[in-house]
Amino acid sequence: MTPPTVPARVLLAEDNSDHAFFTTRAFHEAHSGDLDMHTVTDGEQLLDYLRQRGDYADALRPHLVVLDLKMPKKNGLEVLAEMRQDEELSRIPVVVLSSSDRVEDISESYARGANSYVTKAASLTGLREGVGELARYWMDIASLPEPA
Amino acid sequence: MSSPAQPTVLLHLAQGFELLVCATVIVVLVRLRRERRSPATSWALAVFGVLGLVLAAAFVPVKDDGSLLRHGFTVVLVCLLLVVPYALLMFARSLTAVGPWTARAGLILTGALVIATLASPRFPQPGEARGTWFTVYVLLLVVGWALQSIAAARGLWSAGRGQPAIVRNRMRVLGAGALVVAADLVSSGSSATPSTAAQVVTTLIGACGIVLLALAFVLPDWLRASWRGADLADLAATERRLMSAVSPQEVAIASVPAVAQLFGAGGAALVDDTGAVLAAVGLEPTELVGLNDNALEGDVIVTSGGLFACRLSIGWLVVRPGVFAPLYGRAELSLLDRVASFVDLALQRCLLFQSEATSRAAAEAANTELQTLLYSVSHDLRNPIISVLGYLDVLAQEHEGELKGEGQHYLDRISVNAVYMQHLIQDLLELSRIGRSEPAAQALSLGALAKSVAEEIHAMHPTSTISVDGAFPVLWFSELRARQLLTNLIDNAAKHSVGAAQVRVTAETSGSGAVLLVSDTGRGIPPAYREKAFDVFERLDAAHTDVPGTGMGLPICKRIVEAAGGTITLEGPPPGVPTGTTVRIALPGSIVQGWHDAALPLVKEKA
Repeated sequence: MTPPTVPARVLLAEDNSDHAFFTTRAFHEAHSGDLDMHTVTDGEQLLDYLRQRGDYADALRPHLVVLDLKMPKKNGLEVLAEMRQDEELSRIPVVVLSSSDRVEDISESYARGANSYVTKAASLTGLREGVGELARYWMDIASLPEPA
Repeated sequence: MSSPAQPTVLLHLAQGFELLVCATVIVVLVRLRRERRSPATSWALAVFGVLGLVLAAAFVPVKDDGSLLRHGFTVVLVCLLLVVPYALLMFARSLTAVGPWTARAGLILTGALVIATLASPRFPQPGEARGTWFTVYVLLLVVGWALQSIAAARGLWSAGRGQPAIVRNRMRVLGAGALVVAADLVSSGSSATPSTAAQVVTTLIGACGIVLLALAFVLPDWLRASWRGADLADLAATERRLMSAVSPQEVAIASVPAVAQLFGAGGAALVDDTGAVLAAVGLEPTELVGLNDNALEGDVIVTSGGLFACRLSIGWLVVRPGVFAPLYGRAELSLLDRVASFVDLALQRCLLFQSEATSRAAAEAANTELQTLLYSVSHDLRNPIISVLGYLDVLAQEHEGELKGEGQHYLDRISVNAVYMQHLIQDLLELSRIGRSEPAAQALSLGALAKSVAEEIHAMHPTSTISVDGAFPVLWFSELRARQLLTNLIDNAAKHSVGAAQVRVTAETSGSGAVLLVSDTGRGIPPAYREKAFDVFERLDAAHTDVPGTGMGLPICKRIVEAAGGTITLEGPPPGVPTGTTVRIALPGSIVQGWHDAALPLVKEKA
């Protein structure tokens, strides 16, 4: 198998800057290869980034989206639904990373096409362990499609 | 004939009886008329008053001597007799039982006959030959009598059609009575020389007619009860409909037409306390004003407009008496009262329903608000603590050893508190979720689950001994909830024990249900605090003791058990153990599917 020639691109949608910091850190820690990780802070920005509009006209589509549910302007579930209806974006794997462990949030996320749902509070030592596992799986074990 | 005196005595007895019945009816009618002056009562009184006079005349000692006095007496008597069928006809007319033209014809006929009577020179004596004019006169008299009486009888008989049973039957009896009296007078008038025996028979027949009329007016209770049967069946049906009504409008719709029908009323209405008409039949809203006086509940008042208004605890039940109202008695009013109390009960029940619905809506709104709050808590309250824990983790990872002495101790305390906060939020959320969003139930071996939980907890408290022995129920229960329950109970038991904890988990049957017992050898809980231990945030030891916990373990257990229909109580140690606590959980038979020995592997049936 040939190793990927491009660095893995991850787009994090997270309005809490502290959480964004830990998540990004955990991804970098966990993934051994090159990692190109960007953060957007609301649902509108996320869609602009994915559709390469406005400030993100030159952005490259990510291999993986890490999505918070509660965000300003457009929440995670709305963005998820839009992504899954958009032919160009529908194949991008989406991992929901939320502080909620509500049954409704979990089932609704999967119903709208999330590929994984991880609760931030899953690990009591902070985000590091849980997100670390997540990053290792998606970056090193899973095979991701090349974005359209 | 053994003695001619006997028939005369019989005749007088019969006449006396007839007069007595007539007088009774007159008294009743006078009282009725005092209560309610109406054309019907007036005409009825006229019928019986005149009949009474005629009957009384039989006892007046006027000699049959052909004198002028005697002639005058006879003329007055005949004129009075002529008035009887007309009064009867007018009575029927006042109940709209006969048409206006019939009444007019009756008036013309009666008038003509009265004039003829007054103009007649003299009547032939008994035994004397009758002249032609007299024969024609008597024929006209009889025909006039017969025609008017038959018209009145026929009208009365059919007037009760479509009316309540009592009114219907009363009208029939009135009709029959009128017919009998008429037939009797006709027969006595057409016979020129009646024998005493024949007179006795005619008098008795007349008495029968008057008794029939009297029965219809002074309705005895036994007759009323037997006639009321059909109406009571209708009333029962109405009451059933009232019981299923859930709004004042439905009560009104169920009761008003039925009340109108039951009383043969011209109209009926249900009016609430604000004066709003809930339903009305045959009554205009403008007729229903001015009811808010000081009447007491249960009172029946007669308004200035002649309406019967029954005061309910909420509003009024109003009835407009129909044309048959003169035939009403106290029984009808008490029936109205009975219906009114049913309507009242139904209205009060509706108010209860409404207030219940209002409270439920309020509770639902509060519940929705709580859901929103929980949603916010689950998202927003957690975020800062996740950040705090994250930074503590970064500090521990990258800056280990940089803080010396007390500095490191303070950082450790921040860590402990942050973790505690995390637990608190988690437990609070769990507590609020139990019974609200329940995970699916499944067949679950409580013993097997207890063993698995016991192993996990033993790993956390290696000095503890946790035994899971004997038979355990197989429950229809959510695995998540059962695991929460067992984890909380066994963990509590293990961590509150002094030194090497000994925790025993057993189960026993209790009727069709099951009892789960978790006992420890810890310090025990004084009886006074056992109830309190199930309150949220209640901890028996100070928050800063080394026993970790949020104080929500037992409240969570209580919610789980109660959501399943069971009960949870705290007891002292089992017999023979000096200190300790036993948690007793009684679960209902409805969720117990069988029993299984915890020592045996659970054999799963393969499909």
